[in-house]
Amino acid sequence: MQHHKASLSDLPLETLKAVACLLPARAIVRLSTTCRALRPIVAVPAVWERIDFSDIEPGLTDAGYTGFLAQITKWMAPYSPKNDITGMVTGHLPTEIVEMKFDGTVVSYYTVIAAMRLPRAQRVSFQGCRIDDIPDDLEGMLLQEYAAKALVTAQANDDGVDFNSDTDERDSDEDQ
Amino acid sequence: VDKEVADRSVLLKNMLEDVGESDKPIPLPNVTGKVLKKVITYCEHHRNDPLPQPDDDLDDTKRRSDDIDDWDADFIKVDNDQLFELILAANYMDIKPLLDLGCKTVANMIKGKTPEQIREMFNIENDFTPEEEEQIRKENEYVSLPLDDSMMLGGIACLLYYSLCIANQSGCQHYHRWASES
Repeated sequence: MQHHKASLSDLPLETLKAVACLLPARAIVRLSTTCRALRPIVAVPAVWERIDFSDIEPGLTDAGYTGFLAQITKWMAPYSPKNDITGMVTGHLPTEIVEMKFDGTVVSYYTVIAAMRLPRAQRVSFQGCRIDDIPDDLEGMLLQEYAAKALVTAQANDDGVDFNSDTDERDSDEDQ
Repeated sequence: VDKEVADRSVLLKNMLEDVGESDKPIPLPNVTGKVLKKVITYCEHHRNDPLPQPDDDLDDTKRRSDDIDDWDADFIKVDNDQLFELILAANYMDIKPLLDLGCKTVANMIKGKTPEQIREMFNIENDFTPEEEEQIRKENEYVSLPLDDSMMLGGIACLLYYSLCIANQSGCQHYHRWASES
């Protein structure tokens, strides 16, 4: 060790990865920008398997959401031809994500739908999340999304009923 | 140390199984005495917990960092040097719950901090070149995740970026095309 005091960057990458898995999205990005040794954590697919947007303030815009996923893809495979900047134009998104949390943040319904359409998404959570720009038939659309992914259960239906205004407490955590 | 306590560590458990019943001491070259003492305290407190199963990672509760019980929270109240040494020891001796506890503690310390605060707290030296910082700033601005003011490098860096852009015009065009489409 070159420093007489222990530094976070001295920990093995495996451990740093375990730490990053416990962090919400912005904290991961901030941690990765502290020094070179911590930079690789954003390139570990397992870190982005479950993304928690709850520390994004004041809220997540559609462009922010799309841009973030595109950036993740780029971090994970910077030199893959599929993931270069042109790849982002065609909307290539990371397929590793299994869970997304928008708890306590603000998103638009577009982002909600997009998150549910992720191919491997098993769980999307919106506890205390404000969903903006809700179209009149959002409830129907959400249920359609669930049906399409065969995620509809009794609980999802129950949740759907009280889905009415701008402020919603909704946790759609149906594991497959 | 009792076998029940030593079994908390997968490394020791395997070693004991290989050696069998004997009084021979087991060398632990990578763990200092002070840290080992702390590790033993932890293992003795948790001697009756169920041993972690390999598929525990799939459990959702493992993804939380706010479920530390009072004893553990008190146990882990140590300075950063000791915290890192504990994590390294837990990693080396393969004591999953202690490693998890260490990781959760570090994660809780990182949450809500700016990169500069994280550096200060964990004794991290900023070794990025100005070019790399600009690249990082660009990435983060692009993903709408505002960082802190120390990342904002001002006009000179901006000029540098645009000159790079001209040098790499095709990439730049894609960038703008994508941005306008989104």
